[in-house]
Amino acid sequence: MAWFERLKPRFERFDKIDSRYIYLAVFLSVLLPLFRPIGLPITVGEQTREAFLLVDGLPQGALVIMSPSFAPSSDAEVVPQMMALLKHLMSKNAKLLWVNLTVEGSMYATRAMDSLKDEFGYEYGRDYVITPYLPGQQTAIASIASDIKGALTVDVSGKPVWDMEAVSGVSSISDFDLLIDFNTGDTCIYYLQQVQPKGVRVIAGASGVTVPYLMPYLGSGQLAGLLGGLRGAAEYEMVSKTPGLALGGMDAQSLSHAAIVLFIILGNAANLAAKSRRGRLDTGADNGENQGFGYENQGGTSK
Amino acid sequence: MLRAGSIADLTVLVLMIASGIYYYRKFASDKVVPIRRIRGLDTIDEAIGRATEMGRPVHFTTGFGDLVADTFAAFAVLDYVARQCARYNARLIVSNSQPVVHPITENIVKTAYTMEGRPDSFKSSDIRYLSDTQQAYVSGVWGIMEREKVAANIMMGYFFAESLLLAECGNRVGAFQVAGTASTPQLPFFVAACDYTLIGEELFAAGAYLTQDPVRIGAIMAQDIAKLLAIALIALGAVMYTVGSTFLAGLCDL
Amino acid sequence: MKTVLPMIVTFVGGAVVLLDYFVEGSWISATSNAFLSWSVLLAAFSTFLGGANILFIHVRNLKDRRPNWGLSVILVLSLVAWFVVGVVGTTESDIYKFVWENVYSSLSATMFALNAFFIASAAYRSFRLRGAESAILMTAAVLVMMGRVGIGEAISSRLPMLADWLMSIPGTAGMRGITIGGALGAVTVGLRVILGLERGGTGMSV
Repeated sequence: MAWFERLKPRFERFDKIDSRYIYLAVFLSVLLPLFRPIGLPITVGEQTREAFLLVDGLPQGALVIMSPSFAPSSDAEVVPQMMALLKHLMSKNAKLLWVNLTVEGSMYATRAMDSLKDEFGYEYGRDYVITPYLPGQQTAIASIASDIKGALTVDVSGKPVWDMEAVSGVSSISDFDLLIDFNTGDTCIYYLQQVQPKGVRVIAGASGVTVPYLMPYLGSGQLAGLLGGLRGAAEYEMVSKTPGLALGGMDAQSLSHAAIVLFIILGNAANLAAKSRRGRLDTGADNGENQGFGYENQGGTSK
Repeated sequence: MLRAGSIADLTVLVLMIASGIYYYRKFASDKVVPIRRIRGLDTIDEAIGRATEMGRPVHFTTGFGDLVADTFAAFAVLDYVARQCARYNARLIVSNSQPVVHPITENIVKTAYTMEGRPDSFKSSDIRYLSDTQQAYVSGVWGIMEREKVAANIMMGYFFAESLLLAECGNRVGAFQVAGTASTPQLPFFVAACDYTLIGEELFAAGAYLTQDPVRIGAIMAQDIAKLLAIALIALGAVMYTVGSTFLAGLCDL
Repeated sequence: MKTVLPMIVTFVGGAVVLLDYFVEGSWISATSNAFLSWSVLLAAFSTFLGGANILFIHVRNLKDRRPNWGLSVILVLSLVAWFVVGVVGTTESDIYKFVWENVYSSLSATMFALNAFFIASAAYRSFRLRGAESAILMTAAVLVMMGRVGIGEAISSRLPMLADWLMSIPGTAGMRGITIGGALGAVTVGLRVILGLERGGTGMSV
């Protein structure tokens, strides 16, 4: 390709770009669309649609467990999912029990409910209850699954949970219609192991990196629905017609992905240019720094 | 008496225990290790050698997991790394994020140095408990890697979102990096950012190979037997389900 | 006794909970539930233990004037201040919420946000065409990255379908394999711990 031959010397420059230029490009690609939205198209995927239909099919006043099992570091991905689902549930007058397996869980629960309760006419105790932090994750979930009334005795203010109108008819975990776990790690797996076999349907609101981890459970039918990352939140906002943070952030995510792909292409073009100049494969040896795919794959994965 | 739906699980568990015992006894008498040397162990040796030549420390971290399977496997690798560092007189810094893991790693490293005849080279200040808050732990490890200019970064155990942050920091200081975890969401980050990655069970196998412990080797063989059973069930089940039979699915639900 | 007692406690606790999974019986379930409740208490205590450990280490740094002891001053003061706020005002107090939202939450999110930059540099560095496997890795990564966002849809309506297929079929198949392997590993480690055959957990040499 003549144009490639002409541009080879320029491409070789991109073989080792200073990381700071990459960081700057990513920063700009995230920042600019937040000021000037582009409005790139998004279609609603099957996974999100299934989750939506499940929630939409709940009867009025359904009993739902909400479990915010994420840390502030994943706030940006998971909170939009939580808000979109919460609006949908509250439009169906669902009775909510917030079960918190992280220190920050009750903070997120309180913040979410405070922002929406007036709009939907929700009252604490009558429509929703927030329980305090329950440590132990896996053992906490096992405890909830076997004896929820024994595991969660008081709410965040120290009042007895099961005297409250929202959950007064509950005798066991099986009385709940749905459990939604907002997670970035293993809590959803523990819920699927402990709670789902008791007949409670589970939806996961997961960060992007957790989605492949949960896909096998969606395929097997153990997980009834899955929202994946900011995209999942944006899709849910679209299908439930409640635009929010997620839709606004998708343009930024789009451009940042495009920037990363561009750098990958430039890096490979530089690699090819260098290869044709040297007449051999570039093995990536660069004086003891990260060697790239320097080893043959002999089990495990080497780079 | 038995819970509904637990017979199949119990059968697999009994099979695993039986095969574990069988291979434990076989190895205890044969002394022939049925596990191949994991490629990652050569890269660990290379990492330590590099650190020794450069006169810079080796950094080891067990990740953010508590006492889970990955962490136990990481202990075995730490024991090996500590012995190698003691042998070649390379400085070893260990970072911990969990308070219960910290005294165990300290004990492992101290014992390893003692067994190699270098008890005086062991420094308890190099075994550091940082924080059980994820981002604080990452910040602490960053600080260590940047200040100490580590030549090798070995990350073995259970990791969460801090995996890429740790790996990129290691890359920024020019460290040779080897990682191992069974935490599937984090594997792609390690694969992208590290020089070598032990995927899932390779971490457990590495631990068994390094310790030559008959119990661990028996456990690895038991896992292999169970995996073979899983493969057979998947293959047979796929065929049977395709032709419309749910017999195998029903059998597994017993 | 120092090693035997923990082993006995581990065996009894683990065996009862495991038994409860397989066997029906009111006393087994009741005992198992009790053990699970106690483990929640232990987990709560270990959270406190983490904080106490950090305090101990950094107070020691201050006392011995170790390098960067000034940073330890900031840590100790912050820890004590927020502990007092949490205990006196509880987590429902305005000041606790203010500090949590504007300091802790923001700092955490900032650290995590660095992943966006780091994955860009890691991808640029590692996704190079050096053979068949690296080509597959790079192609899959690019397709999924573009297919999951609006710009991919704008380029072609088939990209999102391709990305979904990659994640649902080959990606999920790989994840299943790794998950099954990891789960079997967890089973054997669990059995070793219950039977007292896993020495690492008791602080003994491996």
